[in-house]
Amino acid sequence: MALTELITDCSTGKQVFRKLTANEEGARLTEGAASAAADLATTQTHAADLAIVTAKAKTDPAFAALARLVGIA
Amino acid sequence: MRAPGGWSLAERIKLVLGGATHSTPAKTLVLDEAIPNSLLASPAGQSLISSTTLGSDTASVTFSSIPATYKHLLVICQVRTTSAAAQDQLRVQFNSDTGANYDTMRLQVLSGGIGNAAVAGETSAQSLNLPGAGVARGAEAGVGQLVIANYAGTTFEKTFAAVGGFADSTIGNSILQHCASAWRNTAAINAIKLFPSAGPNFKSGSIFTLYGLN
Repeated sequence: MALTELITDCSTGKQVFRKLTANEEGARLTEGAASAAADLATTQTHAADLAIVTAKAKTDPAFAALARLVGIA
Repeated sequence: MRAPGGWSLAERIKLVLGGATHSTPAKTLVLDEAIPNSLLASPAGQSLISSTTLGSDTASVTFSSIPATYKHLLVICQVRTTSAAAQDQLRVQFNSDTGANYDTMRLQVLSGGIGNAAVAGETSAQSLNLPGAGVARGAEAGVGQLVIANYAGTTFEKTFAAVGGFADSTIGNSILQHCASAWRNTAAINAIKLFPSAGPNFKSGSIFTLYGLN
């Protein structure tokens, strides 16, 4: 898969497509995989925390009210 | 000021609001010459610097040679990525700096609640969330904006505020993200590179518009 970058020169309005080099493409894909994994880990941590809060809220009305106040309901 | 023909500007600029009849005289609004030019033609506002609509899937979009003549920059975009996941993210680099010089504080609003994360020393700044291929509808796009304050100044390191996201039919995919991000550099910003976190491409049809603010 060839990746391209679109560059706009704001002083002239000229637009150029540039094909990424093999090294740039490899770095880009590696970085993308890493950041996607990090985002997924953050989301999973968030979901796990949410499950704990939701379980606690089922047995504690005051905690349930607090959860609603902060948008976890 | 006298306009050509010997008439004053106020005399020449008359807007007729209603026609005359036998019992109702014509109503006219006369613009007074004393109105200051600053109200008639304010130099303050928003100027389009560049706008790009992608004609094919593209890995990154770069605005280069950005003039230093504005006070602030505003990027508005409507974007979808080729990521297989439902959620992707827009990443930002300035002046071709690929070093670990970017910090982000982000607040995510999800259907199940609110989450936050602070990350430091990344090789790009986080900004707003975008839909990938995993969302329910094929023509969905995320929307958002980035405000880069005092981009041409050299006293402070550069910071920007971003907000954006998307709403999906599958509500678990919907997300809104606010970010305050920093570039550890005091140099004036002359180039902005935008790319998806996972991507690897922005989808064809995605729009990126750069404005200068005064």
